[in-house]
Amino acid sequence: MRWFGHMLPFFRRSGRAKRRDSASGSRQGPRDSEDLTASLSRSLKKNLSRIRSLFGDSADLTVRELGGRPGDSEVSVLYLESIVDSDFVNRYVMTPLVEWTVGRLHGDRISRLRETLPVGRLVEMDKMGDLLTHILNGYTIVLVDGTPMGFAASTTGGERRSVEEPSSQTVTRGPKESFTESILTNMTLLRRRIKTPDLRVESFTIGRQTRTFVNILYIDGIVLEKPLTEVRDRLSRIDVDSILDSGYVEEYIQDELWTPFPLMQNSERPDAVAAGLLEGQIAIVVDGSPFVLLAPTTFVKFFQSSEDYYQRYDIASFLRIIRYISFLVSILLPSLYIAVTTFHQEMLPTPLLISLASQREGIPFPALVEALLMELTFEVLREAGVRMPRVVGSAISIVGALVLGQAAVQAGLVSAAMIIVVSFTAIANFVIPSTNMSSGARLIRFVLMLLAGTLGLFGIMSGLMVLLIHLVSLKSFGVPYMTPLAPIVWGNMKDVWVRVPWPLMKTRPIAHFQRNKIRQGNSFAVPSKHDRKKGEKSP
Amino acid sequence: MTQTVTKLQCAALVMTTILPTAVLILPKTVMNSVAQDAWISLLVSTLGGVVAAFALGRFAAGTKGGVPFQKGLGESTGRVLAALAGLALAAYYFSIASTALHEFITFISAEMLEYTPKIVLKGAAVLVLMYIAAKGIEPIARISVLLMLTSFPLLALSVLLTISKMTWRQIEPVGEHSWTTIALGGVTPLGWFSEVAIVLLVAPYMIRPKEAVKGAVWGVLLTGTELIVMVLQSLFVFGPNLVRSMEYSMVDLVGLIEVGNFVERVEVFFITFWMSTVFLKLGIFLFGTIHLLETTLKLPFDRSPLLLGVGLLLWADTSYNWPHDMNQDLTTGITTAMLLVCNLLFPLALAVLGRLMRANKQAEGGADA
Repeated sequence: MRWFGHMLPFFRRSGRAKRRDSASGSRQGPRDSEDLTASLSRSLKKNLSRIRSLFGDSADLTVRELGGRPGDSEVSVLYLESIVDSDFVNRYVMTPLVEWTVGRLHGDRISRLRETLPVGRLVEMDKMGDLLTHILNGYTIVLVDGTPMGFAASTTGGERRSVEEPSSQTVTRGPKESFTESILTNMTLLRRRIKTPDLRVESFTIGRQTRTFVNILYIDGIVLEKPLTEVRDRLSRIDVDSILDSGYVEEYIQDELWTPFPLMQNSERPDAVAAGLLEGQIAIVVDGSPFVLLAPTTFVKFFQSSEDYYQRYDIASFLRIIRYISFLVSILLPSLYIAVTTFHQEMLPTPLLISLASQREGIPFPALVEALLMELTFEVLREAGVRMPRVVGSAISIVGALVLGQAAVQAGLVSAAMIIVVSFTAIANFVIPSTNMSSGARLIRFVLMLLAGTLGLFGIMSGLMVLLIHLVSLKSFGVPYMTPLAPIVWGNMKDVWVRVPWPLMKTRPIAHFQRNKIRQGNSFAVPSKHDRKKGEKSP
Repeated sequence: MTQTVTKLQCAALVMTTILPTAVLILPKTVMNSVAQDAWISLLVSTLGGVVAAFALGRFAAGTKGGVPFQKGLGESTGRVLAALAGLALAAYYFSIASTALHEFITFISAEMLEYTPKIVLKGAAVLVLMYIAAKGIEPIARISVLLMLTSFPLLALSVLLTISKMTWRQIEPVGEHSWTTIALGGVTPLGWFSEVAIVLLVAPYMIRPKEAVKGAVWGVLLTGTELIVMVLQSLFVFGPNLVRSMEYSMVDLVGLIEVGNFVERVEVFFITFWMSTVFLKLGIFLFGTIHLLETTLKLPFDRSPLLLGVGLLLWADTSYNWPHDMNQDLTTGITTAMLLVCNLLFPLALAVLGRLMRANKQAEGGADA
């Protein structure tokens, strides 16, 4: 297993793979710029001195000199002890090197060195910047005196979280694996699912200080060139100190900053990302983040769950419709309640009106204030639930339900109807499969509540109109966000409101993403009536 | 200028430009003239509208894709005339936006928010319109298609739910009025149909500007069909005499819908849906104003300051330019004449002038040679 992990850099560089260093060149500080673009010297002594100076004699920088006295050796091995697999370094780098230094007088030294090290891939480099990037990412560097180049062997190790069940995108039926913080593990999880040489990987290094590996993955032949070029260009333009999570990358490269709607998907599920790749999306894997980004995306994608494709199409379609309704409830229910109880009481049937009026009798606040108080209270509870230690999480539920619900009604501060509205809104919000989309819905809800409280249904409609215009003008890497609804693409409606049975989805759902639209032949297990008749007629 | 508008979107834009206000005003005004023969008048005016759409569509289809209407006009009629035409049309779209906004808010105030000052409602509406205009024609076109597709099943549903209240004899005797009276009854609807002239501004944004003709004709046909169905529905349910005494018969019609004793008073939902169509209609007009001013004045800065200025002016104009709520004469008399002149006669005169000038130039070129 470990060998597979060490072979991964090979895959990462297959196909069109190139490492692009957006953190090098003129964007560096004055000292960095000079040091990092410089070539390696022929003198091992000089190289070691420069590396030590760049690292400021860090305690975990290990420099092992072989084939001579310290300071006058022929070969040096460098690595950061904290992020390499020491056992692997000793067994597959140090031991062969010691043997090599003994027999160094025979034949071409460098060719023998390449043959001697039993590692999956040995990267050769001649720039100090490349050397630093590799050493900081857990590679072991071998420098040979008299040779102006270094060799990096993949020895990445250190503590890592194992593959666990997804925590934010759970399913009852389907794979139970989720991504981890290790880019290598994440690549493994994807490669295991898509076993085609057309899966291409390109690597970038972003962040002046963090030098984070960012890989983009796509399937050649399915992905469209325009969004791919956009992704490459935007990633290359990122110039920042640190990239600590895929969230950083998302904000830097999304089309529109000023929007409550997510313009890129993120997923911690390898199966969801694999499905995206097969539909022509581009995956962006960031080292250190268990959330992989997918672009381009559309509004309807945020209402599709992995489970939709694993369980029967009828229940999947039903649940999807429920999700759309829940989204509408999530953004509209409190504002509609405010508008109706404040401005348009005539809309309500008389018995309901009397019931609501009797409940609101004695409530000291107008409906808007009442709703805002309850919604804010719920947001506080929700935030507390996330931040509190898990052991006291249940206490929060009790406090929320009893104190803020029952007690508030009994004290006459809020009406029971308002509690129902706020609770149902909150539950509806949790139905949305994407956390990003549900967060956007929470913000929109507050704006609509204010509009409803001041201008009633007219205010809500004004807000919705702005929202609708905003939605249809959004783009994700050149793809209209509301595709296939606006603009309408009739052929792509098979996976929007409902999910039709798999054998009927002969084309990939979003035609704007990919070149190769056909994804299956005639996959019906049971021949259709027409085919059976044809079969009977033919001899 | 990116060319992204399709034929379907063009038809939907035409529909959005005509239908929202026509649906409220036309049943009453047409029945005032020709009572139970209103649907025949509408049929006649729809046919007239199709002819107008064809003529305007042909003119629009002649423009080069990606070249704004006013600029294209400059190439055929000369800069001065094109500038004057651009300013005149901008003034027209501004004026009609102001009128329609006033009507819209008057309606909202009467039906939904009688205690909220109209100036506040108008301010809020202008902000929405400015946002719509700022985003350009592409988002408006996309939403127009959605609203158009929603309007068909909604109309069918409303017919289905009111079918038990319909009395078929209400339209008898058919053809009681003379053809002249019926034709005169169709003049007001024709004024509304002439708003198909918006196709002149839309065509340069179309992927294939040549399809402007089909887009315009389909837009008018679909609008006419929906209007005829609505008028017939009002006739069957209320009869011509009752409709004539109603301010907004369509609202009252939807108000009749009840399912059991739990779905009632659905007119508020109708008004809510209708509001979205009016916002789009007004957004198209404001966009027309901004677009024409932008291309005519060739301003050295981006759209935002112009939008802010025109938005403020629209708010002030629609808030203070009306001494009292508009009466029937104003909406049917002056507006119809203005609509026909500005939407039909003026653009067609420009088309003829452009053709004559081109022919003249060619003749001169031939003589020189």
